[in-house]
Amino acid sequence: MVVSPFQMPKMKAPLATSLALAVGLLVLLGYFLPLGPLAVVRSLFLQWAILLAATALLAGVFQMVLTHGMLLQTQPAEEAAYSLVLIVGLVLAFGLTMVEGLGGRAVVWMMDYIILPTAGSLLALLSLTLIYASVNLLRRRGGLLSLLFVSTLLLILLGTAALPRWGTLPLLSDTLRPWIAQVPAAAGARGILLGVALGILATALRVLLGSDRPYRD
Amino acid sequence: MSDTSTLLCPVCGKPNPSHREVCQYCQAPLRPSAGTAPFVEEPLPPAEEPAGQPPEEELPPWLRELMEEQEETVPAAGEGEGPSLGSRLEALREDEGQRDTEGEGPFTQAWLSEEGAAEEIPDWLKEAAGEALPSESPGPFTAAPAEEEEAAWPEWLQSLSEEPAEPSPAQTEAEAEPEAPLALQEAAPAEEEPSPEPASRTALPILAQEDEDLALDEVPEWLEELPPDALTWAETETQQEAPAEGEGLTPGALPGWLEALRPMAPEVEEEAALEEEAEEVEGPLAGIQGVLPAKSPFQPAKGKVAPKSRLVVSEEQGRQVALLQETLAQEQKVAPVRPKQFWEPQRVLRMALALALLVVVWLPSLFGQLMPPLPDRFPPEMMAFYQAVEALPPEAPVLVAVDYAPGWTAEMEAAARPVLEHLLARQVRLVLISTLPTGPTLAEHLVQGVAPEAGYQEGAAYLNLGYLSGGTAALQQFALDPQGTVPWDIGGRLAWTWPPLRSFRTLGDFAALVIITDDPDVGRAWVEQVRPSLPAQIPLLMVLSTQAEPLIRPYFEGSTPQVQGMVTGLVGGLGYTRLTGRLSQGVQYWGGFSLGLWMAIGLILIGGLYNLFLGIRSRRRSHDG
Repeated sequence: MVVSPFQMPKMKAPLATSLALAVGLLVLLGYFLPLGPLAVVRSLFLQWAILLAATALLAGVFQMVLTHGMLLQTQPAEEAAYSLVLIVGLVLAFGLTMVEGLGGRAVVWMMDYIILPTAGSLLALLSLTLIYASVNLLRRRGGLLSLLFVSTLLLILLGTAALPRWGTLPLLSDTLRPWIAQVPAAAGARGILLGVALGILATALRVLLGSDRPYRD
Repeated sequence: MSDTSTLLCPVCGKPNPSHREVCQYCQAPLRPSAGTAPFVEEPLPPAEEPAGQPPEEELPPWLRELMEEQEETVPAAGEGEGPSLGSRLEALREDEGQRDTEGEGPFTQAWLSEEGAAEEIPDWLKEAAGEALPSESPGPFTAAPAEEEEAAWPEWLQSLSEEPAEPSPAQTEAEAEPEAPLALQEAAPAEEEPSPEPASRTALPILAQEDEDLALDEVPEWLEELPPDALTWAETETQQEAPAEGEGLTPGALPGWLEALRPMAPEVEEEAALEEEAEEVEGPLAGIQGVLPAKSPFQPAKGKVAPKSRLVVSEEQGRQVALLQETLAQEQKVAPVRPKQFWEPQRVLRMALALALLVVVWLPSLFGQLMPPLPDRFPPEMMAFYQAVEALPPEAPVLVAVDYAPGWTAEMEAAARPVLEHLLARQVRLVLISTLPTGPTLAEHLVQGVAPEAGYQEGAAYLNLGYLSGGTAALQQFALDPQGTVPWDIGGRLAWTWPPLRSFRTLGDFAALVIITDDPDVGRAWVEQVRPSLPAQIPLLMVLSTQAEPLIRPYFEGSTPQVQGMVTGLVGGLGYTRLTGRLSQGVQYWGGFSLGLWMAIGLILIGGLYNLFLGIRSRRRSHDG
């Protein structure tokens, strides 16, 4: 088990809860009443949040280096090779960016020939996987919902694809596909957005009332 | 581990949990107590030899005084009054031992019917004697066998009835055997076959105590007048009336079915024996062994009783146990790992699909005639976007947020490049920012790819503010105070000293905001955190991936739109290309994209129908089978 050097002693529950409630209420008040001191306090806390987030990112990178450094010593050679590649790549990218900046030639080269092709290939695999899953869907779950899903998928694809010389299919591309995207899909999306908003509201109230304390762990 | 066995009640026969002391149905004690042991048939082990006379200093002073007075008065009284009290006590003691062997107390009917004694016995005692106590349930006044009685008597009491030079108990038994009276001779076998009533042992101290009281001149007159041989005669008669062993139920014998239910409590027996041998350490009985315990005879035993209940397993249960054992044995067997074969059918199918897609996607690059015509559909969100860009004044700063992951670069750049080309054509000032760590580099990649020949330089033609950490909180603060939140660009220069931004104080000073993202949550965060800080006339425009469009569209279609324009995916980028009249990078994707979609449609359609047929046939077979 790898022990994190960033493990801090836990703050006393009443103190942490009071601090969280006070900060949350002050920021909320500053949002609704952007007057003098409240606006200043709100802006101050938000700046601290930005600094803390950036520091947490650096701490996470450092923790990852430590973790993989320990794995290099404890794991077998086959598995430790991945940790070695990660550490070498991280050190190289970090060092080159610090020296040349984000617009440096070496940094752009790494982005163009390592990061982008790798990430794009992973996403292409996702498309292949989805096609394979769609092919096997009707065999494993041959219900009405599966038929509806595959039919909708085929209609969207048919309304998007274009044939050589002919272009897109007339009825599907300009009527059916937009209708599916703007009526059923948009209705579902609005429902999701409303649910997300209610969930955020409930979570915020729970945190502000102290019944949910995610900062405790 | 908890004991899950049960104890059967010796009275009602119902099972009880093993931890219970009394029956939960009839409240009868489940375990024999040390004092009573009503269901203990086995004789207790013979008592150990007496530990000897207790030291004189352990006796209480009043008892020592009594002993000294007794030594002085007893010999004088015995000289002129026939048999001495000591000899009579000896005879009485032997007689009591004999009676105890036969399971009979001193107040038996024969003893009470003796002439002379019957006259002085009250009527209630006669009536009580008529109900002769059964031998298997002796009363508390029964005596122990003679040898054990002697062992239990204190030395000073034995000295009252024996010769001064008293031999050891063993020697006494050996020497007294030919000359012992009838009662003692008949009591001798009982020592070899201990009495089935262990409770009589506990009665011994009472009798000894009574003898002691008798020795203290408290012997009633009727007892002094009783001839010694009368007791012997009565005992002999009682023995002759006792049923022979084997005729019917012997005293204390249990039927077979009851024997099977009887709980075994060896610990309890041992504890009872230890308690008998315990010596009183305080009070008037100090120094006397084997006195009655102070606790109630019905007090539950301390030791755990090992239940004798047997688990009855039916044939069906036996089969289930065997099945469970077999299953557990199979669980421990390690199944051999089948080596992966390269040419597995599913693996071959996946490789064939990937190969077919690759070939089809490459074909338009090899054969130009396979390139389909560009889409000619211009949705309203795209037209709104175009019109908003057209309305921007020249040299106006526009904030562009590059918030997509590297994996989505192909689609997002195909959609965003026509927009950036349009913006640059409008000679606006681009200010780039990102809420993702990889965003600043992707922003550089995007701008450099729009017009490589133009040679745009960061800090001159555009400004890259870099990475904005903190998520939604950072967006909120950035909307309030952009200068304080991001004071430098990625080159380390003071961003807000750049000439186009010198007069800027808030985000409302930008001419427009363009958000390029593949994540609907990121787009929603910009709408919710930044849009309220923007004046209504400042458009918030979005370039989205196809997957993010459904969740952002409601912000565009509202009665008061919070998003003023959208360009979606490759198709949207190509449509924008046709609007601007400038061919962009997305055009070369269009052929491969369209043929790849047709290939996917064919695979899903054919493979889906085939698998649907297989699934229906499989379900039908399983249903018929």
